Amino acid sequence: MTLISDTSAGLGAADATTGPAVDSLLAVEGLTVTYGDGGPDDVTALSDVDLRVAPGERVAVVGESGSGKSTLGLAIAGFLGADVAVTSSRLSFADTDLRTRPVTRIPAHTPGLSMMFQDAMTSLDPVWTVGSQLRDAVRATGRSSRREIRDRTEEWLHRVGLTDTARVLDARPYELSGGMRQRVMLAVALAARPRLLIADEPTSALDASLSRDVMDLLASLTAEDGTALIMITHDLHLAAEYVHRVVVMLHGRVVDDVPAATLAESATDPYTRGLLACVPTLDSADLHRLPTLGDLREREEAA
Amino acid sequence: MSASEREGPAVPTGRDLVQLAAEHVERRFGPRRRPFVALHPLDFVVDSTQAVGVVGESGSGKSTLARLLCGLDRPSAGRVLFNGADLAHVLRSREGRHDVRRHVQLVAQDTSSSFDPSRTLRDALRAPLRELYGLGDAEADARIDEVLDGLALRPEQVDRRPGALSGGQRQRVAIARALVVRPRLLLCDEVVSALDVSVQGTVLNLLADYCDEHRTGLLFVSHGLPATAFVSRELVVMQNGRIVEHGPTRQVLDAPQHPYTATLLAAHGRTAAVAS
Repeated sequence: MTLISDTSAGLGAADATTGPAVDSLLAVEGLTVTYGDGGPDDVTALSDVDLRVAPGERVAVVGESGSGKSTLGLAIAGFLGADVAVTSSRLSFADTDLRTRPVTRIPAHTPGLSMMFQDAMTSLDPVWTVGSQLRDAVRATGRSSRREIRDRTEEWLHRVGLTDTARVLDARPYELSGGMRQRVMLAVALAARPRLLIADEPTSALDASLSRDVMDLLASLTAEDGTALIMITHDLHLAAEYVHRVVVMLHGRVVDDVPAATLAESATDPYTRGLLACVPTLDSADLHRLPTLGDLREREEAA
Repeated sequence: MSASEREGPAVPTGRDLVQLAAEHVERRFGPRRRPFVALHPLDFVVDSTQAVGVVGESGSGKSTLARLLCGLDRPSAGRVLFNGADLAHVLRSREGRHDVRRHVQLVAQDTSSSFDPSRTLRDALRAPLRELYGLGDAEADARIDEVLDGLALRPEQVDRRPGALSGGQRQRVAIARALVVRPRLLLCDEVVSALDVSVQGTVLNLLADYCDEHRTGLLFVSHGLPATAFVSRELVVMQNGRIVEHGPTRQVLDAPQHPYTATLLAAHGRTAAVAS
């Protein structure tokens, strides 16, 4: 059993300077996504986006509401419906051309790829126990005996730091705290042993302390298993501590793609620099006004 | 205005004072035999002169408290008082419901289910003004556009249906829907958590300024401590359905009384010993 305290495989902040080799596990080129029916109200959510992720690499995709960051994750995972126009010159994952995936009403599973979402309350089925949902995820990885499935289910709970396994397995999602639910989500997502995990706002429903716990887990477990991670988030500072690379999106385009370790110095786009300056801190309690991107833009123009 | 400046007493003006009080309020969910206790019995008072922040993790009971205070949910035990009267009783009459809604507005965290997907957002903004104040569309629109401007929204954006806006934009429209009513007490449940930092700043500045200028009370529920500290004069810390700490914001930040508060502060890089 791998203990969660064993972070020798590398935690985000510690090894953020040295990303893995450059061979791509995921290659996205010229990805454009348009919502609508071809009429004047169509919304282009992504325009000509390129993204590469190496095996085991952790990448944060950061942006504002409506920047297209969630659409990027959904397009890669194949979760966009037939009524959404998705075009690209390349969309390959583990040497498979994802553009050949059939578009069906219920999205087809892409082998080796998992996605987890912000709200565990709506992602986990409220009717079934946590145990049955986690066992389903473990069972999907191949034929195993009941005993093996039970052992591996308990092992996953231990790996995500839930040691009271009997209670958690018997609990329904609403009987667990927010932090516990998010750990269960992480176990479900990783139990399938994906090569790439896409985590869409995995910590935004949690308080700061729990966010760090979940990020510690995300980084350590993906590092131990060699799983690549795309973390979609609006929390630039938190993300930068745990990933190798930060991709910043604005209005459906990538405006910055920089190493996390040198984010403040490497960020070239004024938008990224503005985002870095706008994050509220505890010292904000002493401020008359919080800084906004608009304030910073005005100051830059005046200078 | 800084937290320390905001600590000065706001002016209660007898007639206008709106107060919500939870008396031994408890909320349980699930089967009676094995209930999940979202809120253990607690007493809590907030009025229109206060700016109170409530922080805690998901499941700590903070959203449940806000929903109970405005009558969106009923306590399993205990009662909520609106200006001294039992809220459950007040809400039974149309007149009572309107009285509460004119004075108390809640902005909920889930904007995807807050709006009718088949109608435009402008319809949603006009509805409370028509219902509560009998305003016609033209009068309502004047008030709506004024509020939209402060929230960095363009009038034409609310002529669309909710699905056409991003989550962050919808959240700002939800805040606008509460502010157009000009409530005396505003309850905000995780209203900036889904917003980006640049917009967060804009919305928090607006909320703080609005509440100061209009002498509106604020109950700001969030798991984000920095944002909550910015808008509040008092801070309540909740954990597992209980209030574990309650005091002036500056005091809670500088001298926490509970280990959980100290943990939250540490996650934001501030080490503070828990007072013995």
